[in-house]
Amino acid sequence: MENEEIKNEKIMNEIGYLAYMMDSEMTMFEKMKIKKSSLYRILGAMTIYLVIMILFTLFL
Amino acid sequence: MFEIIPLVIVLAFLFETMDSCAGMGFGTGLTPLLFVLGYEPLQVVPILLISEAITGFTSGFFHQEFGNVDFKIKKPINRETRVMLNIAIIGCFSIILSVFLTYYSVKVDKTIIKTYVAILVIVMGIIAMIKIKFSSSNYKPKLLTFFSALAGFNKGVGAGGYGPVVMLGQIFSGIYEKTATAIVSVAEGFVSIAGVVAFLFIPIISNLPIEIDFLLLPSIFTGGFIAALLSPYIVRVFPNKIWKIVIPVYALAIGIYVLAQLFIL
Repeated sequence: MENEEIKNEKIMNEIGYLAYMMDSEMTMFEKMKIKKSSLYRILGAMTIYLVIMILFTLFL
Repeated sequence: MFEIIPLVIVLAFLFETMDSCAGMGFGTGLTPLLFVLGYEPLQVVPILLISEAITGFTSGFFHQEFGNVDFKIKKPINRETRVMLNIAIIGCFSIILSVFLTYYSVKVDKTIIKTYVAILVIVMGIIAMIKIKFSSSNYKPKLLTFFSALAGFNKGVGAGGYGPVVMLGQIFSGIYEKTATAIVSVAEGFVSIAGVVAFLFIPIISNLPIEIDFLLLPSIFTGGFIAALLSPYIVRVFPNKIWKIVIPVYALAIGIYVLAQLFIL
């Protein structure tokens, strides 16, 4: 029965299923936690930002 | 010339935060404000496109990272990726047409078409607000194609409003709000790249001078990039019922803002 309900939810929300399940299963506090890998990716993005700004300084 | 303008950074940050959270408003909201501050169209439009190309993909990457969307690059691609590509391809053709019309100064009555887009966004915003009470509907791909084409047509004739129409169109088509935001962010990244390419190549092909002023780029890029990192996290943390309210209310505000600009300011 429970499996069938989940299956129905999946069909209903095939686009956005991941976000929908995250909203259903996690509290706001749980969603606030950031994985270590995500932090590294944010640091990576900040590095790319710095490189682009250096390029702007050199070429603009 | 490298210059950092704090006011422009703050404005770009605010509008990109809303754009990455609600899927609309960066171009429609920021462009007229920069004109009011005294900047010229060729200082603003291509720079917004360059910035949006980078921030769209950055925001999309972190939407994926924080679980707001689940794009699959490897075959078979899933529906979320297909919807994004569908919206992006229509948008790319439209923006190329739009830049072409701009360079060739094709006379289109901007007041009439902008009024039409503003009213369309207001009506869609009101319908979306009425629909808040109802639970999410089933996915309707034909309706989504219709709204993508409508948004593309509006952008193609230079009336803007691409984000609001595509975003609300996705919601009407039964797409989960958080995911719709992520899809628009990435699609806008592709559309902006097409816009930048069109801005550079149409004058080259036509032997016209390229007139792009990069003065605003570092400031708009700084504000936009920080917002593109932060917004997917905000979208993740707040529950979808908040976005169900924020998105139509913001669309309504944008529609009213465009009308006010045309007839009051």
